[in-house]
Amino acid sequence: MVASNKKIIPIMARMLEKFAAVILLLMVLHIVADVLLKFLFNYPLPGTLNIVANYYMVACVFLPIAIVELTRGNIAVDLFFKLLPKSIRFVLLITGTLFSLFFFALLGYQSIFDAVKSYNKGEFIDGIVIIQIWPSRFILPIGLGIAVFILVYRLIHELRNGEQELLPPSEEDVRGEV
Amino acid sequence: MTNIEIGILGVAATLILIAARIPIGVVLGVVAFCGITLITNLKAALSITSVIPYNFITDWNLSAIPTFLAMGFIASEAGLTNGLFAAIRMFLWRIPGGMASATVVSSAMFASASGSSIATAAAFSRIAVPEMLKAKYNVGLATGSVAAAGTLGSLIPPSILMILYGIFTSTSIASLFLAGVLPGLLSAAMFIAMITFRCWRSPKLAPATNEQFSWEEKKAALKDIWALPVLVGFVLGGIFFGIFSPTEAGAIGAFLSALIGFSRRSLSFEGIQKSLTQAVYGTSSIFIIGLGASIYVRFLGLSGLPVYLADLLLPVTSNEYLLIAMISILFIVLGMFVDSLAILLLTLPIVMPLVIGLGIDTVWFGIIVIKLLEIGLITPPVGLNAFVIKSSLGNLVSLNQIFAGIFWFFLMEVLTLGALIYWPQISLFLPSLAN
Amino acid sequence: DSYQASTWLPQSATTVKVTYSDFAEAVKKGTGGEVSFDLHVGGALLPAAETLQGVSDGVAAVGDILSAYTPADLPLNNVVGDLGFLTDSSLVASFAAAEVKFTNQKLREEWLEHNVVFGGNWSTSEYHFRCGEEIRSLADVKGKRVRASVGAQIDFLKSIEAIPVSVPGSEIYTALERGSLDCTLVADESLQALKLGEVIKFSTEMPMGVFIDGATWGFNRDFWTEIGAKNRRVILDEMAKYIVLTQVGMLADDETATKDTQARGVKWLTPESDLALELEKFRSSYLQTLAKAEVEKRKIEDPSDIIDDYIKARDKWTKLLANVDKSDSDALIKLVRSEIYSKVDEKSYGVK
Ligand code: NA
Ligand code: NA
Repeated sequence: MVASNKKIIPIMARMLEKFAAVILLLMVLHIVADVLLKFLFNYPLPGTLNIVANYYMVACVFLPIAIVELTRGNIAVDLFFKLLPKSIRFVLLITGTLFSLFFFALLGYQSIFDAVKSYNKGEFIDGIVIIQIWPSRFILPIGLGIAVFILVYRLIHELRNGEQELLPPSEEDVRGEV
Repeated sequence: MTNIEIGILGVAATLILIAARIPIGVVLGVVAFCGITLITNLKAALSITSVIPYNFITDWNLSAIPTFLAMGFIASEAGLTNGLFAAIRMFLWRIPGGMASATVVSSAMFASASGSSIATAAAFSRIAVPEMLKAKYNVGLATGSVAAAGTLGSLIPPSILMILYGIFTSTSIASLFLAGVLPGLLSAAMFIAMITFRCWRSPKLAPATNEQFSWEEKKAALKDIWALPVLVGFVLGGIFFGIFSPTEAGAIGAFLSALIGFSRRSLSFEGIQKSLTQAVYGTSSIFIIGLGASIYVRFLGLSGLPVYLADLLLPVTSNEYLLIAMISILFIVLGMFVDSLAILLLTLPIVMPLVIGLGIDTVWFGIIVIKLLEIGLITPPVGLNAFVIKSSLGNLVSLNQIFAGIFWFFLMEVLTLGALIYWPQISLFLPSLAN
Repeated sequence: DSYQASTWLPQSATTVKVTYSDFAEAVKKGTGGEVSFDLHVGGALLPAAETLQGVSDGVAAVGDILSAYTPADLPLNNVVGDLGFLTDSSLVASFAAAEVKFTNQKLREEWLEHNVVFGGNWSTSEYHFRCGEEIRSLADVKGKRVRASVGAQIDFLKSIEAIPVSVPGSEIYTALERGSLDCTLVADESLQALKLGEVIKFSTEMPMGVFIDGATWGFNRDFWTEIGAKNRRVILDEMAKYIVLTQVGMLADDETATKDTQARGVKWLTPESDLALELEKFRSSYLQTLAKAEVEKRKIEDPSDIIDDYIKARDKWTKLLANVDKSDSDALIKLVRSEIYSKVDEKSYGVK
């Protein structure tokens, strides 16, 4: 169980991250196409603004949360932390993970209801074209749910191994030397 | 417990938890949730935690962050930055800290066009900082110059913050735009003067190259550096001529840097994939803080703490300098915790009647306000520009190093602010010419 | 007790100064301090798109609800919003829409389903072309990029071969200045409020309908019930007064904005007959096909009754206001109070 988790969980988190990267690529291409069509043919792609904000952005933010949590990539201040004895550091480490778990579980839990509600009423944005936005609401429970799952896994790991890394940092986590 | 007490307790808890190395975004979110529950009730708190995050993410102005991050990552992955900074170093070797000053100038230009401090920090941290580190520049100096120069984005027109200030206070945006130019240039000059002076006094901050380069070598270096100026020039020009909006510019910049990279055969598909992955990773870690912060603003608003502080600090006075000094303190304190727009929303309703009551010029006051809001982007514990640089550079730098480096720039900002307050003409000269 | 009040409009707007600050002061006085509000402006507590949900859940006891931002939540009330296209007076639109939303059972219940009690709405004055270039004829407008956000206006722009584009509010100013946008459709007041008068050169006087807000005051239903009939009466009476003062204030803003903008050298143009004719044609066909279009777009049952009710109310208010001086607030307040708010029963309306 533990052995298989060690593989499946990082793979899952990485897949979400890669998927988000593809979405970002689509976002760049979509905006570039919109600008080109607007400039050359006076024909903007209708709804670009809302598709970017409601789909691409939501995916770029929520899908990589899992890998950020798995690699402990959260932005934090470790000025004082370094000066503390190991035992207190351990307590703070666990507290931090518990706080994160609470926060993402809270957001994730609420987002399930929001997504269902949004689906039921067929949420859309009115404008040049009508953009259905209810599907994008489901990105939140997916991204946050997997992040919560990973935080539980991380908590167990930290209770056993303390500050030891869960996942060896890869270059893509912006952690390597340049 | 009164709401004010809950607010004060919340801020104290925030400071302690952040110092305990709990992730900043998580601290803001959890403290805000608990505080809102105490002030209102659980149902309202759950409602806010559900409606605010989605609304925050889907704000079009923020969609520039991932694309500008991607532009920075792709440009550095494609090696567009290498030649240019080597050349800068060759030509500016006499000037102490020349690369840092060049960074201030180029990112100030970029920031003024893009109008977004965060977007500039996102693009330039990857473009400029690694090159300075290669040249053994001090980490704080390198990151500080990007963080601080980025903040000029809102002072030099166009500027979304000025537009919002103009709308909120019914002040002419055209006058604000003109008024921001000289203060923006002054700020950049102050940064450069500080960098030059510090690097001259302690050369190890920015080691000068020992080698003397021949003209042949300098000419050879110039041959290879066209890519980055073309990239930046195209983005600036496109915004200037209204071909695309500043928000769209990030995507254009990312696309163009990939094209240049491919044409120079210095970028592979793996390189693109890596850059985009890095960009979404950075986007996510920045937005986790943004999410927490967006809920935190609601907590502060409901607690009434900003109003309370304003009432406490802002005396009934007929001395405009005293009033502006106290407003500055209020904004700097609030700026430690919440972002620019939130400060405007939380405080303008209280501050503006006092300002208008004393007959203070709202254009001049607007420039001071923008300067103060921009300072908030680089002050700890919640300094968005510093966070963007951190997530763009990863383990290359620590947040402490960034904030330590920013300290000197912060001092310059305070001096500049003093000058802007003492000499209103710096702001009002250009608008007066136009009238 | 102290309750939260939330509006997404900035402090500088009349709709905040009069409609929220002065209104809150009056309610506090009228209820002897039993109901007082802490005011949160500019979306600092609840952004425009989230105010309905926030008021529904009790984050705020009262909020300004922009129904156009939540079309799926308030489909029927948005039909009323669409009818703003067929109205050329802010006073008529505001009072007619409010009357219909108070009296039409379907509209009233749509609010109650969200745990919100409707309390009145505001309307802007008419939208016109505001441009960097001269727009007079059909030929002028062809291929121009025009910012628009209201469904009927977008359809009209398409019908005259202009190109409707969406630009976020914070970018309109720069887009017009740089010329990436040729025109925007806004009311007079926005020339001043959004500072657009600084970046346009021409205004073409061709009214393309008004914009009607969802609810100037949407009350949380639990709050509304809890404060009791006596306080509800006070609030209803004050709303009659402040809905008028809001509209009158906005008319004054329109006038100042027009004067200031003209003083900047912006020219006011009259459209040529071909363009004006197209608008007339579009308007008459719009009403004929509206009910069917709404059924398709909003997935609702035939809203013909709502449309009829509004058109009736519109004609009624047009007649009522014909003989009233638009700047005589007291006369208008008397009229609105007797025609709308005195007919609302404080003992039963919206109460749980
Ligand atoms: Na700018
Ligand atoms: Na700060």
